[in-house]
Amino acid sequence: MWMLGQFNTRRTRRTRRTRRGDRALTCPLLRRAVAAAVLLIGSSMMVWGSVAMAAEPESESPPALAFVETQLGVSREGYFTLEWSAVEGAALYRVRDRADQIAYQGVATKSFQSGLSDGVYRFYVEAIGDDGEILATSAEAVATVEHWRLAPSLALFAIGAIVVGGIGFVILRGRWIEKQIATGGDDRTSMLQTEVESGGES
Amino acid sequence: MMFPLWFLELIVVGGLTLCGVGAAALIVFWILDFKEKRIW
Amino acid sequence: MTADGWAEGIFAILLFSQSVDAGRILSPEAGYVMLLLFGVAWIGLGIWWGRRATSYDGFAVAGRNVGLALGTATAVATWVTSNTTMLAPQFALQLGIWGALAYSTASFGLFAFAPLSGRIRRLMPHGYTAVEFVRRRYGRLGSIPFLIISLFYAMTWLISMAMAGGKLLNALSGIPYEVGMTVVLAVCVLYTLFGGMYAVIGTDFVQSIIILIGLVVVAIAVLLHVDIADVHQQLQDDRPMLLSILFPAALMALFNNMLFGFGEIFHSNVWWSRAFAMREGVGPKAYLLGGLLWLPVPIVAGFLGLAAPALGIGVSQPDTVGPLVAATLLGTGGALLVFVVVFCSLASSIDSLLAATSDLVVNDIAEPLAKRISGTPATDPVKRRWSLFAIIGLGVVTWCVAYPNIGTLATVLFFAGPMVGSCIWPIVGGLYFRRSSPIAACMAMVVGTSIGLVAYFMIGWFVASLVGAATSGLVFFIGMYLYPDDFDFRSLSHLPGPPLAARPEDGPIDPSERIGMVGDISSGGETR
Repeated sequence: MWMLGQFNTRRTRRTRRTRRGDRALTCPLLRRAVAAAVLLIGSSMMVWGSVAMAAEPESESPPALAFVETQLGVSREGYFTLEWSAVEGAALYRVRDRADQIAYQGVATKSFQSGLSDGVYRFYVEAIGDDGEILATSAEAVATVEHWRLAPSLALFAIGAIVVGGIGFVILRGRWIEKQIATGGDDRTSMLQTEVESGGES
Repeated sequence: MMFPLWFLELIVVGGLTLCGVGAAALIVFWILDFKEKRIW
Repeated sequence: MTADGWAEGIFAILLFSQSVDAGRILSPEAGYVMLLLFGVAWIGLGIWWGRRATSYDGFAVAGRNVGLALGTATAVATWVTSNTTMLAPQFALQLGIWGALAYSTASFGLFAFAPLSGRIRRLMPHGYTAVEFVRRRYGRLGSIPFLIISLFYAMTWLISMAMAGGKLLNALSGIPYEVGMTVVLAVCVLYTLFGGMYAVIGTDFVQSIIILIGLVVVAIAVLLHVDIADVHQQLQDDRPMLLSILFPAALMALFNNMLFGFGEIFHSNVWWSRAFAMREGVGPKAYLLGGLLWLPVPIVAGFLGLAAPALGIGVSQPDTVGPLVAATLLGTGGALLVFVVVFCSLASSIDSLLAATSDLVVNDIAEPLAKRISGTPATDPVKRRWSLFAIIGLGVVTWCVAYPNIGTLATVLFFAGPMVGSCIWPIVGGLYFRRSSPIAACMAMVVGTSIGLVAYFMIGWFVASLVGAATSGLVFFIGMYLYPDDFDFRSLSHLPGPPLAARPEDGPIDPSERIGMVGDISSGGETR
């Protein structure tokens, strides 16, 4: 099952394009609906289209250690990716939060933070040399976590349960009627046949 | 409100057991199908 | 070289990898050896099983006689993609315990498809594809949006798997992306080409056992290194929302993912072709057992993600946290195991997609077009030949799109959720309700997809399938009420047209096309 592949990238894209995203939020709903409809019609081109959308120009690393984005915007799901420039000679990087707790330590120039409660989070990153010395320290990056409200989330949860229950009901009912038809059934069979009918071989 | 420790233990150990049983079951099914010449 | 020689050779390479290429989990040399070993094994098995594919029926639906063992295994292996082993940990790391549970609810799609598979097999004993059902059930009005959705889904899945292959092999062993992606794709194309559905289902059996055992070994290794209580404590301290029962986004994601799974399975020809391939009566049991065996996989894999913080493993990219944890704890052996599990996960999905999508291309695009042009249906051998071209063509297109390695893993899959979610009701209704009408199905797919995409952009990925499925269901029932049909299900069991190969007096469309067909027999199909 591949379906969840988009999650990380979606988050990253959203944080990277915060400004664009903010502007997009002001767009009317209709405009988005039209965009979605266009996407459907042109779905044969979506493969290429979505690949093209994913293309992001590689920026050259500035010499100093700095976060790619210092204002990460608001995360509604409690996770986001911090990304910073590479520093020549750095053996590893260490991300610390405002309380100086280590939030990440590793060789990559990205750190994935998740599971955070509502609040404002500030991070800075240190580049560590081979001998453990700190080569550079970045300025702060700020991320805000503000989870979706519980009531609409539970409402969607309930809608999901109803839809899944409905699908289950239709399938089980259909299977039951099929069985009735296959075994000769009771008096209801003829009535039920108008609704569901088995294949020629049942 | 948090998921309790026992729940995490239950799903992890239960999942692990089911994975192991699943692999064994596949082999048993294959042997049964093979004996009855019903693989294909 | 003897088996001992191989073992010594591999061991030497692994040692070499640790000393020379400390930055990688495996050395490129070890990666190449594994690729070669498994590539040769899959192609060899494909050729071996492919000997049975003497007709188009054999090639496309494995002779419609697959037993319980292979039927169950193919359901498990196909549903375990590289994303299950890689992105279930990511999902757990993003949405916590709910995330792991939500991912595992995709197995409910297999449970729900179990009775559907039996009905499909009974209604269409001579069927090949899901689109064929929709075309015969709803006509062109339903089949056009359905075909677009099916092809979009299949191609994006295929491309994302090929890209995942290149990236994973690169991340694990340093093999260049282009080489890894090309080899994985080429191996799958070759053995699917030789063996069709026989090769796909046969290799799925071996792959599913490797995946399940590999996962158990890695998870046990994790449990030997870290206590579940420590993981729980660490999460409680540093990432509390991952343990929260009232995590809003995770609550929304739960049924969304379940419905995404329903949509994927209900509409995709990957699953329909297996329903057609299984022996009468086997399908429901195989899908039920397959779901049960698949259910724990994302939970066990997800635990690797949850354990990462407690193990002190810094996560830079959540989609590689699973392999990272395995390799960190098990060293080279773990990396080797992960390499094999991932390779199996990739191959089991790519081969299924190649086979099922080539069936779509042959049965639902090429054959109707040819029939319109020439006025007569294609013969079995011609369809068999088209299948070969279709598989090669799909492989080439996938390679061309995947080669530039644009975007992060599976970015190309953005819009599939609402699309497949909106197919659920047209399929279920089409299978069980006489009154399901073409206009209701078409409107359900179009409106459900559109509103689902709007929800995707307005709210997020975690509601898109749910909104798509809910709105399409509403539209479907309104459409069915306003424009009811009175469909005779018995019409589905009739052959659309007698196969020419079974009517030698008519002669094939083009006799020369029969020459040189690998495995072709003059008497026509196996089951017709």
